[in-house]
Amino acid sequence: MSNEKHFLKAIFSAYYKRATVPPPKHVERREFGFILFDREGMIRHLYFKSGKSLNEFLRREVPLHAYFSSAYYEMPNAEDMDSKGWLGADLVFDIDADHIPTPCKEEHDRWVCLDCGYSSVGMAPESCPQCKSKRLKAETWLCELCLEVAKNETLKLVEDFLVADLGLSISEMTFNFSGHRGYHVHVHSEVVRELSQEARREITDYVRGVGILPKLHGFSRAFMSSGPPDLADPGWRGRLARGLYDFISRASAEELRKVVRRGKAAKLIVEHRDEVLRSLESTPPRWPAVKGVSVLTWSRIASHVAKLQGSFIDERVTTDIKRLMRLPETIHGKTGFRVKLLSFSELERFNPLVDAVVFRRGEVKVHVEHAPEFTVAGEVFGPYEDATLTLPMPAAVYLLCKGAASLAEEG
Amino acid sequence: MIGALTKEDLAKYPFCVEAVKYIEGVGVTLSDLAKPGYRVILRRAFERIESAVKLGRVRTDLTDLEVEVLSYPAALAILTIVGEPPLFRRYAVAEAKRIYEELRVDEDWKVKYLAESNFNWRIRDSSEGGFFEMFFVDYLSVAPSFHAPSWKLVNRLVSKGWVRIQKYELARLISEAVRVRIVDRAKSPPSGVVVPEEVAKVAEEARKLFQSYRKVIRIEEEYSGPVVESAFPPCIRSILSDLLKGSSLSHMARFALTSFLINVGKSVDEVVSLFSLTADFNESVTRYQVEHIAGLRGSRIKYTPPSCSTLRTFGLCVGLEVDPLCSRVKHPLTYYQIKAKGKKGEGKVEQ
Repeated sequence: MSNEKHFLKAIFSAYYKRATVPPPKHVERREFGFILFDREGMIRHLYFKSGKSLNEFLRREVPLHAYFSSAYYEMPNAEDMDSKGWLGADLVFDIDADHIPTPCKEEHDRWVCLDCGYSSVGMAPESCPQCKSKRLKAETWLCELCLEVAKNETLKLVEDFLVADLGLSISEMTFNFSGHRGYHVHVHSEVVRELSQEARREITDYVRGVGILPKLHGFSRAFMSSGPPDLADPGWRGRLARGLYDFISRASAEELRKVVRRGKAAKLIVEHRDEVLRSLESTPPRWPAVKGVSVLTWSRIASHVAKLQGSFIDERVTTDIKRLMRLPETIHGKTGFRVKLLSFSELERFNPLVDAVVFRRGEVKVHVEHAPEFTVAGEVFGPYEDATLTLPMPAAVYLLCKGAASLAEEG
Repeated sequence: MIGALTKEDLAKYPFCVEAVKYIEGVGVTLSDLAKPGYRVILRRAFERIESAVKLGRVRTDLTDLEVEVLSYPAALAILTIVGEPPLFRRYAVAEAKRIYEELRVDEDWKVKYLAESNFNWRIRDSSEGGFFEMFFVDYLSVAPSFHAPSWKLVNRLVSKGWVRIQKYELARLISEAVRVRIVDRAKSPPSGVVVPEEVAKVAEEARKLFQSYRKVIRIEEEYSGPVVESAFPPCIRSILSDLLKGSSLSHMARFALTSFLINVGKSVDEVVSLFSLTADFNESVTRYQVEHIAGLRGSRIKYTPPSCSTLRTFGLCVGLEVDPLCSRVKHPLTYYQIKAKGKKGEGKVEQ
């Protein structure tokens, strides 16, 4: 084991000695998996009959990463997935800045093609533009803006979709910081437990707005007489109405032209903007009487806003009914941050770069290969290139976990 | 007004709990069916199957209510003896259609009651009137089997966990749940039952009938003939054109294309040579992967292409709003089978 691993394992061990990790609900029905410091690959199919034995394991083995299943099993420790006896699974959501395009990624993320060596900044593309290879290695960093965007997506998911539309209760959800660039929502209500994979896919499509047809939400000629959807309507119907309203109130003629694909209609909407907005917000709402603008035009705008109004969740996580999720209150081995459990009200005020820092005291002398400017525990560091320096503990642990720094000789 | 189910209702909806209780009360066993006095039930049971096989539908016959109720489990018993899953499926679709036709013109309370009492679905009357509201979890236990965009949750009015549905839609959901129930019975046939000769004879008759119609029905039969490229669904055509343009494909796109081509009858060599157009082509790796998908290696399972809904999730579906046939099928192979035969699809096509 390298010096860095020894160092990290020692401080992780100190954490697990003093912390008690709360077991997930029905701990005895869950599968657990871990990545250890000194072993390749994941050990999985583990089972704990209580929170006590789980914590004993954490103290003894001091894992680099810890996971548990969203699923409940008859025999969580059966090695073959089919003989575990699936009993149901929490409905889980993963919101990760990796999947959300943010402008700042150009500043802090970069990627390199493992085949031809081409590298660039920002979000990694599907394949290398130079050699088309898919073997790209991304280097991603936490940043306040990305984390804030991920948090807002999480709040939108919970308040607008899970509570308002699906009627799920916040008291039957747990929330946690993922330890890296996002948040997890676990719905453990009994009503969702037996949802099939197909049903979960429908839910992810719902939340993302995938497959939505505005004409089925009142944007069609058949609804001409009954007026457009109301801003106060529930579900996607109201969401499309509000999206349409917002878009028209702020879009430029150029943006509108791109969306409605008709220059004349776009110009007319801009000219009659106030009138259009007044018709949409009247009770009951009326289709704006702008000659030359058809329902099809409004419907095109609705299709466009649907994409903006969905929540950016990772659909693969939600549709996988046997997923291993990061175990809350353990440490994320790639950042050194705590996978912090949060109440919904804490979530709103939560700043992971301060509140999820575990190792605060002391300083460490390190050699940093490369790091962009970053913030940890309220302090700004970097950028560093090939630098040897003494850093406060939170920054040093973060860089060591990311593999961006090594321990430097004291002296 | 809410009333109780009549005997006529039991005859129309012999799947319901009241009918099951009634049937248990009468206490007819398999060996009873062989007795002369019950021949009429056995006949009606055969008629149900015959009509399902020949016409794809069953008609309710209310001339003798008792016979109508009892012939339903008798028909299922005969199907179990025949033991042909495709026949079970054909029958299930026909009964489901019949039930749907009955339900959509029946009273509101009855439709709601049957949904609640037989499937434990949570249904309530909409406050606005004229609609029902169904709890989303119950809705999602059935609706994903329908492919039309209007059944997608995202195209529904959903509020506080309740999905707004119309009466005819609830009728459709009930009939689909009955269909699934009948199909599920085929998966666990009872064993060690002594079949009386008279019943075995009827079962044999049903089997022969099914065999003679098998070609016409073409249930489960894979399309086998020359590969008709003009019949490829939009998703496959789009992946193919990306490939021909030399763009790189995602893993899912490669898998969908390869498994589709193999399933419609392209050879491994043909598929491998297609991929030779890609920039990162490595013949031995590609050949290994194509052979794997074709079931010639590894687990020896021939893979079928992903369903439409999976393709949609991976952003590979391009036809849904453009091609009317796409809104009627759930699987790219079904699209191909229908298109290649130049025939319109009839009802639901099983995968």
